[in-house]
Amino acid sequence: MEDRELIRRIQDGQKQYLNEIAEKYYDNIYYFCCYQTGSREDAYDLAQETFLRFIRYVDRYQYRNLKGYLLTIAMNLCRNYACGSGKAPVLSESFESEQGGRGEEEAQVSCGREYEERENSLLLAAALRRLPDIQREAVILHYFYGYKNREISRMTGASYSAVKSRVRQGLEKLQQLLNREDFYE
Amino acid sequence: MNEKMKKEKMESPLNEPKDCRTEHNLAETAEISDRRIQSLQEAWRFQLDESKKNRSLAVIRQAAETKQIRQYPSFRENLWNQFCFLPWKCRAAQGGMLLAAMLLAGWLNSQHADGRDSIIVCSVFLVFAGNICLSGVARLFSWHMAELEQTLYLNLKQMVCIRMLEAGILDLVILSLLAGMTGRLNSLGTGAYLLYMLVPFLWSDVLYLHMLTAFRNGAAGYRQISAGILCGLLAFFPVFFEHAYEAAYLPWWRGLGLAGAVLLAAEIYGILGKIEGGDSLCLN
Repeated sequence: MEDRELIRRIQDGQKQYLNEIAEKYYDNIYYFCCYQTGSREDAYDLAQETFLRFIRYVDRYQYRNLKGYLLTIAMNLCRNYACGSGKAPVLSESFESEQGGRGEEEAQVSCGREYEERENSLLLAAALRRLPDIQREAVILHYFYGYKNREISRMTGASYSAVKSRVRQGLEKLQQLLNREDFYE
Repeated sequence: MNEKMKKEKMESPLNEPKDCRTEHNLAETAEISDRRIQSLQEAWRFQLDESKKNRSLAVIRQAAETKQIRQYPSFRENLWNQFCFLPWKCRAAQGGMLLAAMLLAGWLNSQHADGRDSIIVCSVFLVFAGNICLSGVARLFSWHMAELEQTLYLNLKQMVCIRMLEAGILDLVILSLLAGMTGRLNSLGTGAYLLYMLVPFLWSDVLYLHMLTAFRNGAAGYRQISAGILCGLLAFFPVFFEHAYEAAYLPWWRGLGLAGAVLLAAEIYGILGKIEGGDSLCLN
């Protein structure tokens, strides 16, 4: 069922479709929160809070781009998280420890491909954490979610040129970080 | 990763050489970087912890169950609802005005009335019609109706805006009716005719809206009716100037029209500001 129809039904009182939306977009929101905060654990809470906020205001929501709307809520929550937790934008311990903790015992049993993917996601998270917040969210939305600069501009409230420059600078920095041999050491 | 993203990735600065290394090294580095980025992009969606995800979804399901969905009507529904709130007297007066407008226009046509006379009659008629249309707004400011008429969905400010919009639509209908049927009686053309009609209308509306908030007390309703009649009578002012409707005075009319429009906008802005502030309009 299309998002517009889901929203129409929810606003008509069929609350069960709220669950459908949550199941449909949970992963997307989770990954965003995860790479934005660098914490796999907190990302579950933030993704959950995103949907709880959406549910709170769903009766006033006017359909436009549901996924973008959810990502905007998640973005604001992540910004508050960064301010509230006072965590420095360094490589997240939880991301690393979870990966590392599992890696010890599972590395032997998992196939090489799986192991490489895990390594890569860890590497990516670490590289993204080194970017400034605003560049990171622009890069994630543009490069991984495929949003156009104009759409990101609407979501973040920044001007089009600001978003364009954030994406460009963010990608340049990401490239520099990933090209460094000693980056992850 | 979709095709668009792949294409963008190829065009992105990630693939642009930046320093002064040799071409061979650059190509090699770019290739390695490219492969690395590609593998990172494929790996950015890692496996989620299903138990944690399910716990999260369970909390969301619980919140969805307890959610009380409140229905918010659309803009069109709001317009219609506000129109329905008007008492039958008000609607009868507005309907009567429309009917009278058509009869008046028809009569002026049949009499082949002089352009000047038809403009005066029509402009005064339009002013009274405008004031009757605005009576929906006036009701909100008299006899402490505002707090009674606030709906579940709209606050006073939104309600005033919607009623003004309704009044504006009705005024436009009457104006176009008059202009369409009697405009040809005027030798100066439709533009000038509209200007002659609009100037008294704008000025009387400015005065009327100002009095709505100025006369807000126990006897407000009667005073507002008097204000409406007085404003209508003020539209007769061009009668005292014999050459007022001649082409030479058109710049004056334009100036007055512009000033009236600016003042009306300022008056509406002021009313909305007063409602927002709530200082001058104590609802209780």
